[in-house]
Amino acid sequence: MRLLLVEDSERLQRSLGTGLRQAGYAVDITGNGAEGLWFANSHDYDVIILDLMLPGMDGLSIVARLRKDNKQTHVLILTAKDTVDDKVRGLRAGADDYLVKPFAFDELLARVEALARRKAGKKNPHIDLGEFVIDLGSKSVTANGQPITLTPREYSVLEYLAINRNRVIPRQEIEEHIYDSQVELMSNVVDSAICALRRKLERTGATPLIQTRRGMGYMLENRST
Amino acid sequence: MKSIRRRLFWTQLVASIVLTALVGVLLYARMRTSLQSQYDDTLRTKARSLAAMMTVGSKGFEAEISPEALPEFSRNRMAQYLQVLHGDGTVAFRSKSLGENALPSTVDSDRPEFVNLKLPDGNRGRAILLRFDPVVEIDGAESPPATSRNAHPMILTYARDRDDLDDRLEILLAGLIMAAVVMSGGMVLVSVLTMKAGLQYLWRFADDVDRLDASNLSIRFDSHSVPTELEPISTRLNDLLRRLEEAFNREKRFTANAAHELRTPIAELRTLAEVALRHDSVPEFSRVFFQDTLAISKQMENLVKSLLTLARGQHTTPVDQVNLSDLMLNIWNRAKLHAEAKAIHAESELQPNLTAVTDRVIASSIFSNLIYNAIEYSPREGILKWTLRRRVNAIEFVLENTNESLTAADLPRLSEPFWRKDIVRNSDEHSGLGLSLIKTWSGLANATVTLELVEADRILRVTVSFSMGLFDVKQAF
Repeated sequence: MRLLLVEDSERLQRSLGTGLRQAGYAVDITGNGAEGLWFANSHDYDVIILDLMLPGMDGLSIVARLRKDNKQTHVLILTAKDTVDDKVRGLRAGADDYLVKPFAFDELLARVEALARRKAGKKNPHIDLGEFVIDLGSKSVTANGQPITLTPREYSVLEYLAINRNRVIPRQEIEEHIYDSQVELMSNVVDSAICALRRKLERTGATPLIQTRRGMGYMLENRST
Repeated sequence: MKSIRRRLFWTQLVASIVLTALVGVLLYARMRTSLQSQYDDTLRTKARSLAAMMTVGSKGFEAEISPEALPEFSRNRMAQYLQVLHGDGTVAFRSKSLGENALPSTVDSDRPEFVNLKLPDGNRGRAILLRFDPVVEIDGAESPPATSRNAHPMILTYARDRDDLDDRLEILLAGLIMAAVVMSGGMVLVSVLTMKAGLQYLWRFADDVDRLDASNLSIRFDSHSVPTELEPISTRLNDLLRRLEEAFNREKRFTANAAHELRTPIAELRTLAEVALRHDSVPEFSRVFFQDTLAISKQMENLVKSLLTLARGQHTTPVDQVNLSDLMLNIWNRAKLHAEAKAIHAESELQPNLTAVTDRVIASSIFSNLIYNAIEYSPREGILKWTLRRRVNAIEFVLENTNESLTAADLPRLSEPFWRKDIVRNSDEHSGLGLSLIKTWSGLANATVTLELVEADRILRVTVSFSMGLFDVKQAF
């Protein structure tokens, strides 16, 4: 999952960026509103975390602009403005969620996950892949009830493939959603991540999940009952 | 609790009773005198008639009073009494009704005298004592009485009961008392009703005032609908309410701003702690996190310090003769490096050795805050001009710098705590308290601050006037 964090406090940028990346998200960060709008229009983010009081362009204008341009990315407003009027204004401008500072990081994570699930059209926080079950809440994977240890990146790849299962996903799309702009991508970065993931999944003795469609990308077949 | 109505009621009641009683007493006394005078006139007339019946002839003194003609002097019931004495005090005539009793006979003057007495029948009576000269009859002819002829005129005492007079006086007294009671009762009723009607505005007003609380300070009293007497109160209350509402709103804004100002650092701190706890196995985060924690602590400490300075802006400060020229020069020598770094066109004009009685530390804080703020908020290649010069009874510091965003409407709010033109609060160094502090410090440093926009709003001018008179510690709030 790839997130955009538009927040003018550098310290929050640092801590939220670290926390979200550690939670398995790819995060692009900016402290300027106009730059944030450019990022939002340039990439297909799963969720945008947006402050309201920003230099360059305020958060409400960014949301309004995105909705006007028919951009469907889920937006979570993260702000110190706490009045009912502020919340109503933010949600009516097109935001999907509103969280007031100070906030619990776990709550932010839960709300981001919920928005990401909403984007994928899934309400169940578990994805059942037959022998494999992915818990979107705890970001863990089990094979026949046994937990599998994955790196955040490997988990992200698996989660993205699982959410979009039965669809061939091009490498570029995986790149787009799994890696943020901080990462300098090499051409085979997705292939390497898939390879490592396959190895870990095969070690469980389960039937291989991820199919390669040569020249097109990767696909995860739905084996749920 | 004192009640205006009760106080007015009792005052009116007591006053009306006292006045009614006073008028009644005076009226009674006057009428009593009048009735008694009428009674005495009757006595006098009758006494004179009786005196005319006393003659002195050849046979000596003779009273021509027959029981048939004047039966009242003979009967026992409803009797009247007559006693005539010669000038030497011997009895000349006594009415039969008098029996063995005697009437008063001492007269001090030639004028008739009246006395109250107890009559022989036991009733209260009134008597007239009259000196007179009896008619002298010589050979059947009357000659008028001549005092000169008689060195000792006779003394006639005529007495009768005064029941009639007393009855009239009693009726009069009873009538007056009744009238006084009715009048007092009527006045009580009238005063209660008029007070109720007159004070209803006051009660209504009091009810309106009673309904006021912090939630409805926007209410104003209609000065035109209240009586003239309450108009000044209503006007003053409206003024007070307006000031209270402003103060409450200012307080609310201040509290909201202070809370808002603290939200971001608290959020930063909390997120830092939570992320650090979640990923405490990543040692490279620790240093950055602790550095951030320290920076947030310092930011919050500065904010608290500034708030405390504002809140305690009434402490006394040490008084000193301060050379403002030297002070400003030192500050400018450091500050101009920052101005040069932003390519700001700086001009300065300084009169040497300008001194004022003020607080050195506070004056220094005012100068440096203003100068550094001007550099901070001026655009690159902007203009910054300052002068320090002597004025009449004051030393004036004028600072001008390029303004890009402020409008005339912003000036009144410029020294409001936490107010910033730019709503983005991403700087640790600025909490929006700078000009509030300068205003507070100015109050403590015996100085005044004025802000204005000049040259078509392109230049912000701040003028600080340090008084050269005696130091007077002012209260900033």
